[in-house]
Amino acid sequence: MIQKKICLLGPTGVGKTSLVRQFVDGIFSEKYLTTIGVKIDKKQMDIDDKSLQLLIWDIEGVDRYCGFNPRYLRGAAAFVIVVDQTRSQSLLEGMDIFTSARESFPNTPAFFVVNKSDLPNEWYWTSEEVEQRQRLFTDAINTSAKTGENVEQLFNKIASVVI
Amino acid sequence: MDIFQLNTLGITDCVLYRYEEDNTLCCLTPTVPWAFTLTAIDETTLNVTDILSLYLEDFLIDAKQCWQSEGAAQISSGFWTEAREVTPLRLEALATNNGDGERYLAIKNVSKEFDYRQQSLQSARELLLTHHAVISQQDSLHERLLQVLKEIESCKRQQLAIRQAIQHLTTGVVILDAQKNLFLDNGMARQVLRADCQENCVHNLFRLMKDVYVDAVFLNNLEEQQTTWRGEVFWQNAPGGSRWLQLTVSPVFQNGAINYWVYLFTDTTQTHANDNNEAQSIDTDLLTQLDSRQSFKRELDKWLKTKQAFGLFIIDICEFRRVNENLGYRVGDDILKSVAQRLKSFLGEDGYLARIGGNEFALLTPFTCLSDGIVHDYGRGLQIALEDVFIAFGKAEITLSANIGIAAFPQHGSTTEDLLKDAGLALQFSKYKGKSEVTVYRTQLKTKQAELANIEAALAKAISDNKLAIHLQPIVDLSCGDIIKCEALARWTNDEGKVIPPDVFIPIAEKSGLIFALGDWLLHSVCKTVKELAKYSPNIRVAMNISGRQICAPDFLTKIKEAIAHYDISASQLGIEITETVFIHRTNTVAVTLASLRAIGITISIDDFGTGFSSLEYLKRLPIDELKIDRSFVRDLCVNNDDKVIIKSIIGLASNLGLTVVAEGVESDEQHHFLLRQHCVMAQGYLFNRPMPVKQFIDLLIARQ
Repeated sequence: MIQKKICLLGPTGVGKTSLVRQFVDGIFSEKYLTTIGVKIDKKQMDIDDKSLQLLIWDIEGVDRYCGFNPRYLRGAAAFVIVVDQTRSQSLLEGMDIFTSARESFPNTPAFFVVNKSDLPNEWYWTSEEVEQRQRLFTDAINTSAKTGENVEQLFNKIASVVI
Repeated sequence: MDIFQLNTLGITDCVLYRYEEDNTLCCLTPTVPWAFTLTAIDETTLNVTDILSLYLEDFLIDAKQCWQSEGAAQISSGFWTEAREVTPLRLEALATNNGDGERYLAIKNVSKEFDYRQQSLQSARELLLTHHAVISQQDSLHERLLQVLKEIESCKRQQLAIRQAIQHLTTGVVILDAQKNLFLDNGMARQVLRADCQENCVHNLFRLMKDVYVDAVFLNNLEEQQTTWRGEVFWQNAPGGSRWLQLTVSPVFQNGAINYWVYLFTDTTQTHANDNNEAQSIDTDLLTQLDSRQSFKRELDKWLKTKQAFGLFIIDICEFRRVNENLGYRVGDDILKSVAQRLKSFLGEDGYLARIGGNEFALLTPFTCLSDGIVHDYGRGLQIALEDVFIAFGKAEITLSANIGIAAFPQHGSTTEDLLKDAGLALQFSKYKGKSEVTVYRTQLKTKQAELANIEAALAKAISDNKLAIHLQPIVDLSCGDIIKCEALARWTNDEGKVIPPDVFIPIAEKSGLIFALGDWLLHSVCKTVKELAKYSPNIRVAMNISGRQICAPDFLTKIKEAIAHYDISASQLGIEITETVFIHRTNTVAVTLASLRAIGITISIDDFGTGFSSLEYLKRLPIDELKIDRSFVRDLCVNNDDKVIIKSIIGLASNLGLTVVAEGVESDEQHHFLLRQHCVMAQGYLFNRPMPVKQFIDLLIARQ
């Protein structure tokens, strides 16, 4: 079976772990529990008659307490930058992480995820400003780890690119 | 005592492997049950036959580098979690090499450390997110109110609709008209201001502003600069008891005249209460065993009460984040402990030391005789104490630099807040100047800070109003004097007609982030100029300076392409000049961008060559067309043989690498002839032409033709 490493990156509290839990176990918890270090989950998928196992690296959020460590991205077939549409600042923080990741991995496919689509959009960015940033990515999608909206689709998109 | 006994006694919970010559791992602690979650082990030889943990498998790539290195080394994997059926395993791996052939992999069960870290960061991050949420709400509301209030007529018409919209918000809103009369307020504003009617609301708002020093001068500045202020204030004398407020103050304009003042506020006292409880429960910094920030303030209060002269030093370890990122938090933590130790040794028994931030220490020391010179020298002494190499875990070697801000009692202030503010401001100036700086507070710093803020605001306005100008300096063919190309330079004359030199406004733009707006302006102005020059000299190339921050921006390449398309010019008529420093930290990013720029025909020059870190490595690897020899070498070449040798070397190096050379700052015939003899192709400088307005440059082109 083909195995592919996928890294989830982003600022603190945007819902990276919730996306993984929703995708792998189909569950969501309202309680926020901060991730420390790295946790790896596996999920098998079938794409075009091929069996693929995604190795999903859920990485501690980047903030003033935890810097970005490019070593985690080594060998990744793709990485995902997750941001939160209820927090404008998360877009800037996400783009900073993206820039740092691109320094070491200029050619790895990168996906842009705007999470918490079940909540009202509180961003003050114009759609043009968001699109301008989205264009730097392989693909972009809005998700809700809570309702499951587009979560499966996100990983399907990733799978079809990395397979 | 060996690892078996330590594990048995519960002192450690660790699996140990020895790395063998034949690249295998031999398990030395096969009785630890969870070892089999990570590795499959041959029961006879105890050799590892398979790595079962994906994370460990990845870490072994780094571990092997550590084991195969010639000298002593150690690296950490950082924390990770292995899922198990009942409770997850929290682990950290360490690869060590003592340099004498002993190489080990230790994997430690770090459940306790993990839980402690998770508990601390859980609270810290919840606070961070709450604070972000408050700011985000205010920003979004501010944006929407500005849109509505700018339409003055419809705004009056819609007063009722706006009132209804803001009435039930959790953010306090007060809108005053230009004469500071109440236009609108909401229930939350009255609750926060403890006002029972409209009159009280305005009265208490003014009282709040007065108490937190948001005075008429401050508001006039906001009005003049047409800018918004946002910050967190402590309202000590608030009706109903002191409280913290997140505050936004914003003037609203229409046709250049002020229409309204918008005040937004959110009570953040509860957040601070949580924050304080958290902090107060930890008076001691657990890592260094020094006092924490809270304890430091109490100690400072005590020192003030003694009325004895003392100095307050705030020490900021420069770029400490990089140590954590590159070597891991364990090494970073170990070094912070050593920093604390060195500072304590330097300080002696009369002083006091605390760790007041991640990489910030505060130090108090008494002086019998106090002057700016004495405290400055003491600060230098502290820096020297930190200059020697730090060794973490007996292996990793790191050198650090520190910026220091100093305030002295009684000269610079008589209260805790004043002294901390003054030392903080002095530290800010040290950081502004660069690395390894010591600044003693003086009142002029406040003036200087205000000046810088004024220049920054004026520059922002000048950029948005297109009030800057481009000057062009010809770059000539040294053999015939023909103008081959030119360098575009931004020039700024402020509203009072004063010329602000680029060495003043460009560093301010760099520090404030305005460099992006300035860069956009320069790009468009240069493209426009290229279009104009093409009428007189179709092949002339215009070069512009690009800062490190700009070239690393993800949308830089897109912007360049869009500008080229917008002005319908050829990319080959553009040149980009960057300095060597951009390669220090971000070589890969810059290399990708430069390659893309070159692919579309833009020329890449290294500006001020020879003054940076001049690594041959980047010259070989990176897509570069041209080196510009720094003016400092050209200036003294007639009197300084070293400079002659350096210039000859640069020209030789460029020739070998297939790069062209431009000499900067040529001012005399003697310099001109020397450069010609060395086969330097191009030059710029006052000997040929000074930078000139575009119109004058065009006249020059016409005259030459």
